Parts: sequence; structure tokens; C-alpha cells
Amino acid sequence: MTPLPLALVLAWRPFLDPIDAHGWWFLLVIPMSFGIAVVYRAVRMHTLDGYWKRVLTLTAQIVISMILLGIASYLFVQVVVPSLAPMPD
Amino acid sequence: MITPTFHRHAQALPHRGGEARHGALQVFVLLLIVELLFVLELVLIVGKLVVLVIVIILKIVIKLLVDVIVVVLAPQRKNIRVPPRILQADHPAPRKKLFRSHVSPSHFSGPLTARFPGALARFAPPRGDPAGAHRGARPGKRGTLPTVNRLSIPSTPLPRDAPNLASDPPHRHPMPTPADTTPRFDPLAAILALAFPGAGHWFLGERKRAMLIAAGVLGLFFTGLLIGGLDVVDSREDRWWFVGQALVGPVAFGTDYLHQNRVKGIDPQTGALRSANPDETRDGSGRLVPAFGGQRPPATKSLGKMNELGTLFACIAGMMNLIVVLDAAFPGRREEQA
Repeated sequence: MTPLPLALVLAWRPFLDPIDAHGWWFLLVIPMSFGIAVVYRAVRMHTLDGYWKRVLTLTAQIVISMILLGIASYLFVQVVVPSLAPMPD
Repeated sequence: MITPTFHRHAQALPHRGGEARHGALQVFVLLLIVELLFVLELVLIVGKLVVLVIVIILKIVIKLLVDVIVVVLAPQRKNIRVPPRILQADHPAPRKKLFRSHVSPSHFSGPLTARFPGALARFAPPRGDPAGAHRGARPGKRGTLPTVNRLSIPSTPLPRDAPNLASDPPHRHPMPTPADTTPRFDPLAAILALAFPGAGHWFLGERKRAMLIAAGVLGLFFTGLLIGGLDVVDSREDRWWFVGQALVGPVAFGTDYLHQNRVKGIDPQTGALRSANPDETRDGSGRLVPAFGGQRPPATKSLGKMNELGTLFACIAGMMNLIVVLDAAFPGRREEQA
């Protein structure tokens, strides 16, 4: 990840230009999970006691589940498929 | 992502023996089954969604028709003022409070008397008084409620702030009734929730919940715009994504309007509407012209992962608002606290 030139940072116009997050795009799963958890818990909880605790719990559950799914997909593509049909030498 | 890997293995088949071909066939069958399951699940989800939307629309229409019919055909019920507690099945009202000066004898037949059949017993004539000497009541047929003389009913004035259940909207007087066990339907709250995230719950009186919902849905939507710019909401180029984003409501349509009419420009060669290239800008008439002297395009078109993630954020915001709309339409379906 290279630091952005100052001129480029200053030239960035919010909501008009995309952010330069190509090096850390995967971290955006955290705000996405947090937003989902905020809305879902607000809708589903009977009363809002302990709301933020359950929001953080759901956020962690979503992030961990996606990490596990990523690991499972990686293992399937990189281990299971080559074992079934070996790559040519 | 999986398919190119498979093709690489398949290309190697002519150089490998039958074992590799057999393995590739297994992978192919496995992938085929997985893809078929995905397609089947997608069809089921879309089908359920379509059926749900049709049912909601039908319920709205039926409820509106019933309301219109009730208002048109039964205008005389408008001025009935009934204390709310006599409608509560769990807390039946004392007999005295059933009878107030504003309750006319014509109201003694109907759902109230059916719910509290013993409430009028005190006005029945005592034994040995068949002529109706008991003041205020005349003998009726056996098994039916007596006719009550209005003048004899003990009068208890209602407090000034007593709710008018006949004219006030039901959401202003939430009370534990048997309706809590069966989900009620509130089309106005659903429409408000579609108009602005959280407005439906605000209308239902759940203001903190409404603010959290608005913060969550709009936060997701505008975070998507922040990541990918205005380009992530585009009803022309990303039509299917926009279907999901449109569920956020007028905010999404306003964003798309801005994108189409204030950011995109007309191509001078083809006359088509498109985003400006990095070396182009937009003149006053909306045409794309070459940029000079530090001019920049109205917005930068996002590419790659930034465009994908921004579009995904905005679409998830719409999906979450769909859940919110359904919850506002059918309030009361919530999980119990752990």
C-alpha cells in the first residue's frame, strides 16, 4: 500500500470520486456488517435493552462467518479440486 | 472463480489418462449440482418475494375497501365513546363502568354484550317483580338481554382525556388485546417506511427504533456513495442493482436523478448519455467537451472493486429497508429477549 500524493488526496471530492481503497477493500466488510446489524437488530429486538451489545455481537458473527466462508472456498478451489483433477506438470 | 480453474483442468485432459478425466467429470458434476441448487434457491426466493408483494398489495386494497365501506355504510358509529378497558379481554370492566350516560340502549346488542353477557344481569327484574317494578328494566324474553331504560342507567362522566376509539387512529391507543397474538396490518406505516427509512416506525410511536433504522439504512446507502461515488447508483447502466437500491425510497431515486441529469453528459458524437472520461468535462448545455486548464469531469466513474463494493452497500441498504417496511406493515412480530 503506497501513500497517496497530497495533491491527489486534496483533489478527492466526496460522493463524486471513488475512494482509493484497492489495497484494503476487504476491510470494508466491517462497516457493511455493522450497518446490517444496526438495522436488523433494531427491527428484530422486542425491546432495545442491550441493543449495542447485540449489534456488536452480530457484526462479529457476520465478519467471522464471511472469513470462514472465504477459507472454505479457498480450500475447495486450491485443495479439493486439484486433488480430484490434478494439474498438469 | 471456480469455472476458470475447471477449464484449466479440462484443457489438461488430452494429456492425462482416464483417471484425470474421471476426476474432472466428478468436479463437473459437483459444480453442476451446486449451481443447480443455487439457481433453484434463487427462483424460490424470487417467487416468494413476488407472492409476498402481491399479498401485501391485495391486503392494502382490501383494507382500504373495507374502511371505505365501513365509513360510508355505518356513519352512526362515529360518535361512540367507549372506555378502552371494556374492550380488553384480559381485564373485563366492572359492571358499573359499562353503563354511562353516553351509551345508548341501542348499543347493548352487539360485540360488547356478546363479550360480557353477564354485565347487564343487574338490570334484570328481580324475582317476583314481573311487571317491571324494578326501576330501569323491563322483563325480556328468557335468554335474551333486557331492554334498558336509558334514564335509569347510573351516569359516570368520562374524563376529558378519554380516548375516542371510534375516531382516533388505533396506533394512538396501543393496548394488549387478542390482536397482539395475530399480526395486525398497517399499510400507512409501510408506505411511510418506503417513503423514508424509519418513518413507518416513527409513525407507530417507536421513535428510538426509527432513528436507529434511519441511521443504519441511510448509513449503508451513503457509505456506498462515499466508496464508489455517485456512479454506484445508475438506473440505466446497472438496472438490476438499481431495483434493489430503489427500495431505500425517494433518496435513491433522487440520487439517480442527480447522476443522470447533473453528472452524466451527452456524447457529442453519438448523442447518448454517458459518464465523462477523465479528460472531459460537462458544459452548461449538458454536452461533454474536452477539459482545459485544470477542468475536471463532474464525477469520476468508479471501476473495479470500488464500484462493486459501493453498489453492494447501496443495494444492501435497499434490502434492509425492505425488512423494515415489512416490519412496519406487520408490527408485533419480534423475537423475545434472550
